[in-house]
Amino acid sequence: MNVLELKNVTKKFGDFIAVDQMNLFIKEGEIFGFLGSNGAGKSTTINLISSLLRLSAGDIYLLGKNIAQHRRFAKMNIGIVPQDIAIYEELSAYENVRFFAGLYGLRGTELKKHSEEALVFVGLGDKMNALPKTFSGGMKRRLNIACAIAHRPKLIIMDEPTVGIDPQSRKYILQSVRQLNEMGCTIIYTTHYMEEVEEICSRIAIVDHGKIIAEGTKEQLTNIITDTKEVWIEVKAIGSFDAEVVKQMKGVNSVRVEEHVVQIISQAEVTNLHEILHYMISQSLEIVSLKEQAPNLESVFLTLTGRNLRD
Amino acid sequence: MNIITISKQTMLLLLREPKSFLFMLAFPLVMMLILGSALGSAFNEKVDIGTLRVGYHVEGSPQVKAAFTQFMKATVQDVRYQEVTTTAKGKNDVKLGNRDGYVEVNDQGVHYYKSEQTTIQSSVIEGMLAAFADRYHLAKEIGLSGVKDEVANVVSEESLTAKKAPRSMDYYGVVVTTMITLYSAIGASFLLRGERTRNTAIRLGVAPISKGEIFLGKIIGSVLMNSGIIAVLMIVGSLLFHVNWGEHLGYVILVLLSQIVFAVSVGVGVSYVVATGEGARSLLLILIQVASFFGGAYFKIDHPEGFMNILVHLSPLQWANSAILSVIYNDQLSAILPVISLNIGLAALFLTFSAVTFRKREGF
Repeated sequence: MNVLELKNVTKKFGDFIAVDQMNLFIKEGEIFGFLGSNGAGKSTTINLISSLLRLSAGDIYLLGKNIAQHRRFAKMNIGIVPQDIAIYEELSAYENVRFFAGLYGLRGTELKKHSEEALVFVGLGDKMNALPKTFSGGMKRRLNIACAIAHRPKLIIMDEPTVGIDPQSRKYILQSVRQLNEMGCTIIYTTHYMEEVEEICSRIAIVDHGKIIAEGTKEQLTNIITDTKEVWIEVKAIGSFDAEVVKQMKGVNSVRVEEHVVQIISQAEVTNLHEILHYMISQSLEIVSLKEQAPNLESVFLTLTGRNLRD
Repeated sequence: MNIITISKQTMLLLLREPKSFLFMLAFPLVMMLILGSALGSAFNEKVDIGTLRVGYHVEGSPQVKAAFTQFMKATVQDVRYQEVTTTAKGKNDVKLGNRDGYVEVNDQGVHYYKSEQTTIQSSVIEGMLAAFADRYHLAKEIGLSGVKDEVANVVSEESLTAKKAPRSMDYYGVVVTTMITLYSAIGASFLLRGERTRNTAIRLGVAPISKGEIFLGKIIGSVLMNSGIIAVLMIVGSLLFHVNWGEHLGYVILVLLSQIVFAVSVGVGVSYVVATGEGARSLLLILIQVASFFGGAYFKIDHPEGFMNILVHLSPLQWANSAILSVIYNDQLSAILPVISLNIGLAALFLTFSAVTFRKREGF
């Protein structure tokens, strides 16, 4: 059963088309990775699904019902974890969760129970009466999640839920996402961290210029780029290395430099490694290691969009 | 139900902002203390009363007429008398402030109509008339029979303007409180904008509640919270400075409530006109200061003339102050109707504008 279905969804802001005839379906029980660089149309799509924005064209169905005609039903069944932490610093953790859950029709003991359970779920059971201003970034992110799940939505949309937090909190959040999924929630997960997508998402869509340019499981996506190969060259110091020079070489699709590592994606049938190494030696770069990497989501994204996910 | 939930949460948020809360309570109390004490002299000190202006009308026996003519001759150095043909005109002149009093002398007695726009002058005239009546009482004893029966030994008073006058602290207690109602506008300008800056607007926007519920909940919460602050201010003002709120407290509260609704509506409206929160705050602060100055919050403005008169009457503070002081010191209960109508009418305009803008806007 499809929990969510987008049919020819379009959103225009004046002449600018933010989402362009997007078609998408998400099955019940999936953790669906939604990848795209900044401005690709991810947030607009999320805002359309959550009824924050009005559609310019197309239809969105949640659990088989058109959300334009069943707005309340749709809102009752969606939980949003916004990218920016959306809590009241003046209210305690419990008051925050209770207030937002109260907007979903929960009252009395049921409201109390759901609010407390949500806080316990995210590991803030012992901080219910504390004010968020005393929280670390990771704790605030967890409270941000608790506010979105207390009303027990069927579909949870998590927009960059791990931005700017310590590894321990990130681990906790990823574990929470898996647990929510095991409890029956379908999850849309957007992030700039490819390793998170690879770790938890069962299916992934790559969005660019308001369109879905690739969709499938991790394996399906990496298979798209069998015609390319990826080489990682680690150097002692990046010095005078010029990525533009390498990009001009025969068969090179893209070059990415991160600290001391140069990542080069080339056409599989072209032999150009000797030329690349010759250039690096000519620039007096001391090569520490060299390895050929099997295509991963990062390289798929780079190949398909021409950009890094974090651009 | 959602409206109540949002109202309660709005009040809680305002309560948890100690700086704003303290400002709304401490600032006016300090102002009452400073202005009420420092400018008390403007209300209490002796003043030069100048020439008294009295209208008169004499009827009845020749003795009474002769006696009053003699009285006028004796006091003409200090009083400018002018005969008035009808009672209505005499009273009207006092009402308009053209005279300090109007006296009717006839066989039944001396009837005096005084103005308390010029309280001191009126009281001086009243004293003179009392002496006049006393003198005829003494005259009877020396043989002017019949006069006693014709001129009563009393001065009957009928005040056309006010029976009482506020002390300095009473005046500033009222005007500073009405001024603080206007400050509700600043908090109100952040009611909906604040949700956007906190990012909580997203959560409200995706929740299964209408924009109308959010809007109403926020407005009601703000009005209730500010009403609570004003109530505390009134109580503390009464206890600390013995501010007189009169015998018709309900009427005074109605005016203040309408003023809060007006201020909150203006604040929300301005937040939709001015692009930034700081811009809206600055604009509101300027408007409140101008309204406070011309509304007499800092210095009492008596009988303004010309352009100043126009400015004074444009101040929302002046509407409220005038109505409240009339209720407290004149028992003019009907004075609240125009000001409440004006406040609620303008609030409706601002709220309609804000609600339509809020509804039309995509997102929050």
